[in-house]
Amino acid sequence: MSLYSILGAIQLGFVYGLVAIAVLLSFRMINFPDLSVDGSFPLGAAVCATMILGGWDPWMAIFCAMLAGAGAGAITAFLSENVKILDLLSGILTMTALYSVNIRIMGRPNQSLLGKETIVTQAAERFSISPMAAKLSIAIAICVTMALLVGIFLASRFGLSLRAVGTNANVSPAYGISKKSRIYTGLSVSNCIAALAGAVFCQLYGFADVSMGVGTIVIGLAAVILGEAFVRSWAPFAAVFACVLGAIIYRFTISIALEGDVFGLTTSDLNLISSIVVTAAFLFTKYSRQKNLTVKVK
Amino acid sequence: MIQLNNIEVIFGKNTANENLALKIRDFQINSGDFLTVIGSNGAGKSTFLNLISGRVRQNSGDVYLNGKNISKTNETDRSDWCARVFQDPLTGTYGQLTIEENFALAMDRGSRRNIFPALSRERRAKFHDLLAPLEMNLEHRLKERMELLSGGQRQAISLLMATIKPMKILLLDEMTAALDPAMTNFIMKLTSKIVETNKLTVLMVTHSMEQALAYGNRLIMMHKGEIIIDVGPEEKKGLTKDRLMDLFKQTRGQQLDQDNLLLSNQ
Ligand SMILES: Nc1ncnc2c1ncn2[C@@H]1O[C@H](COP(=O)(O)OP(=O)(O)OP(=O)(O)O)[C@@H](O)[C@H]1O
Ligand SMILES: [Mg+2]
Repeated sequence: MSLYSILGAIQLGFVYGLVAIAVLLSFRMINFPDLSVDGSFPLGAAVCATMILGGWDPWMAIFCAMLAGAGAGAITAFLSENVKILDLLSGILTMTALYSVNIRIMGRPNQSLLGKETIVTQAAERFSISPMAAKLSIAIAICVTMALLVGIFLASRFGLSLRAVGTNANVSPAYGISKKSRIYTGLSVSNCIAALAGAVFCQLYGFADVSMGVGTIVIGLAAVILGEAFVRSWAPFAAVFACVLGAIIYRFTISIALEGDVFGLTTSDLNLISSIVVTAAFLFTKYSRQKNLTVKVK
Repeated sequence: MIQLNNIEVIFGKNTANENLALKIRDFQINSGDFLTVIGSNGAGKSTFLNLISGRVRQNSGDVYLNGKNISKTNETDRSDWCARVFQDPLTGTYGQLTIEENFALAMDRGSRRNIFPALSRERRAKFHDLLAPLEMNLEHRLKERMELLSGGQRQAISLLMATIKPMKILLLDEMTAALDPAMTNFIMKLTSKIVETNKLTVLMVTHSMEQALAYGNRLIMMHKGEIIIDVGPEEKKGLTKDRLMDLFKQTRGQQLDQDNLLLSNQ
């Protein structure tokens, strides 16, 4: 494996580390199997690409992408908590709707940022580094910052109440914790981070595509489960950093498999591999009696 | 303090299983009361507690707290003055969270949950000091998950959690039902101690006649959703099991008589 592809895997690992944090928040922390992430990841990219092409500042574009993602999460929460649609279906509805919305936003199924000013070109210029170094440092900086923020959030009094709803929604009202408000917050923050991942991805790789979100949720889930296999802890910081680690390990394994030409795999086999990894992880946790690893997907 | 007027709780209204689970004409709980609640399975005891905590909403009638109508508030709204220990030690706490996290959640009952750290050195010290007198060695296990504890240990912690912050009323729903006699004894002693030191108002549901007689200054018996016996402080002091059974038979007899009366009038 060349240094180039190692760095590439690390870079992509950190971008998907953001997705993993998003999935950790929904699936694990509030115990809501939210599939809308598959739509909010490309939503972030679409908003970001469109704004950059419209001449906006690339950081402003990221900020707006995050807002859009938070809105998408709130819609899923609305469908589930107010309209009382099944949690899985709520996510699928948002995800499906976002597919059309994303094309509307971009005006077409994909956009290229070739030659535009992005956070990559800005950073490369500012710190006089190569675009490659800029990309890698941006991915690491954003993901680590986000992981820290989410860790602090989850360890806070509010964050603890969010996790409380995820583990036992039934007694929570007796302690003054409303499930509804926690689901709204949890899904908004989760999809906000997924959209951030999409926005960062679009600037690092220079394009946005409406189908780029397919399988995001499964990759995120694979990262979360892998992370849990290495770090068995429910403590907020440990859990957040574990899933980022999981994302990096996952991307690494994938690039080795692709590069080494194992079984003649190609990039398009990625989603198949992701699904197999998640299934294997489920089977593994089912037969290992480690309670810490119990996968609590309803 | 708490006043109930013409309450009706009906489950499955307008369905085949319509069930009048609670019917209270006029009932008052005074500040400082320690009420024990007895009655057979399905008598409506839990529903009565749920009505006060706001978990169950009445179909008709009003609930007042210190003269203020709170009929439309829900369980979350009422949590700042209403604390509760649930019947089942497994579902009444957060099994997957640690002991200290459970305590932290209880600490924030009634106050805004902000972005300050949920756990601090002072808080941990407080939890440690609360647990040490139990002599269950739990003060050294703050970082362990709740689900690793025994039912009795969990109920003891539930009780401490419920009473860690000030409240107007404490609801105890058969909290010793899942425990062995020794543990029951221990938890009840702990309860009396906490209630006495903090001068709490308590509503305690129990299936044990002994507990109902030994604790509290007021006793009510429920039957088919209604409060059929209400024994006040004076009478409760000398109350025995036999006397209670007599009272029960008397009221049932009266109901029978009333039914007969109705029939003869027709
Ligand atoms: N959520 C609910 N939905 C429908 N019916 C209910 C519900 N909760 C209670 N009931 C019904 O209301 C009646 C009173 O139940 P409740 O739980 O208050 O009895 P209880 O006195 O607490 O009995 P136990 O001693 O068994 O705990 C029962 O007939 C029960 O089936
Ligand atoms: Mg009951």
